[in-house]
Amino acid sequence: MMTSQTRYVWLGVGLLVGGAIFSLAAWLVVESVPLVALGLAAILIGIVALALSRALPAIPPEASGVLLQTGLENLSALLEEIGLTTPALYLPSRLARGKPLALIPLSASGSDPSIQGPLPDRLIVSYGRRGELGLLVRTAGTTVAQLLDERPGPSTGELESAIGAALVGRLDLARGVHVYRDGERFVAEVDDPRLGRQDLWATRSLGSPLASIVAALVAEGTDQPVAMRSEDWQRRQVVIVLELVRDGL
Amino acid sequence: MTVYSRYLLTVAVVLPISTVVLAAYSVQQLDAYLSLYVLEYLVISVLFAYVHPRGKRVLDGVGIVLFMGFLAIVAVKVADILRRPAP
Repeated sequence: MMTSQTRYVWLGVGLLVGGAIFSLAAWLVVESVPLVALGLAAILIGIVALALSRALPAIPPEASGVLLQTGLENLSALLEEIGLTTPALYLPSRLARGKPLALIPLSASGSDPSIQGPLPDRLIVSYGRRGELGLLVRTAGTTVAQLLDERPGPSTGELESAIGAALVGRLDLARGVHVYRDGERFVAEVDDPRLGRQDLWATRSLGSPLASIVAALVAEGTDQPVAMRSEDWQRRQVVIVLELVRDGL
Repeated sequence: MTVYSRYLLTVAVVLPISTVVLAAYSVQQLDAYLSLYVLEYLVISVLFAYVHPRGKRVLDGVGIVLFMGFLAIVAVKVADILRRPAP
């Protein structure tokens, strides 16, 4: 069974060879400049196809989806067993073991958690002035942030570029991303999302996988904890509203 | 449709269409076709900026080579004009 990568390679090689033969024949036999140009265009398209074959993901999207689903279901089972539905706080790598993680408070206090310093490398951590406890978990955003070539910057343009590179370029989960800032709030509009909302227990705390990725990247880019305020799934767009939560340092 | 398929489809549609348009205007200079291809390729590459870095490196390399070719075409044309005797 031919993979997408192989198809692109064969297409590229076919267009390269076909275009070269066509150009040569058009030049020597027909002596038509437009046909020679058409053959050269085919060569160029073949080169693009070969270049894109290197950009295709090594793991098929279906396999990635299976791995994501399995991880989410395991986390959901854990959180459901504890009965945890408190909203998570997305932490930048500075505050969480060198990776952007999510802190799920074990008890709801009505306000956003206040992080007093970098958290230890454990699942259950104490984070507040009164020794509040929470679960420190990896999310899809943790892994995605590590895929990027460089750390996102704090401006809306840089965040939009980083989130777009991740969701559109690397993962092909959306058609486009727009990021706006309104004071301490960031609004991310993701066009044509290919990953659904996922009706699992873990999403009550972490949000959907897509929103989770956006939140992790915003936290990493702004270097501040980020809380997810809302997710609005419309017909061909999802609007994610995040808010910076200044740390207690 | 993935971003890669869209990129390839855009290039595959735009280049032949521009060839047909130039042919309809009876353009017989090959360098005119090549110059247009280079410009179209560079514009499409900018529009699809989110391609995976691995593929983007190769595409950027192709873009550089094409742009050098475009500059060479321009240089030849300018030299040709300068060599012509003054009227």
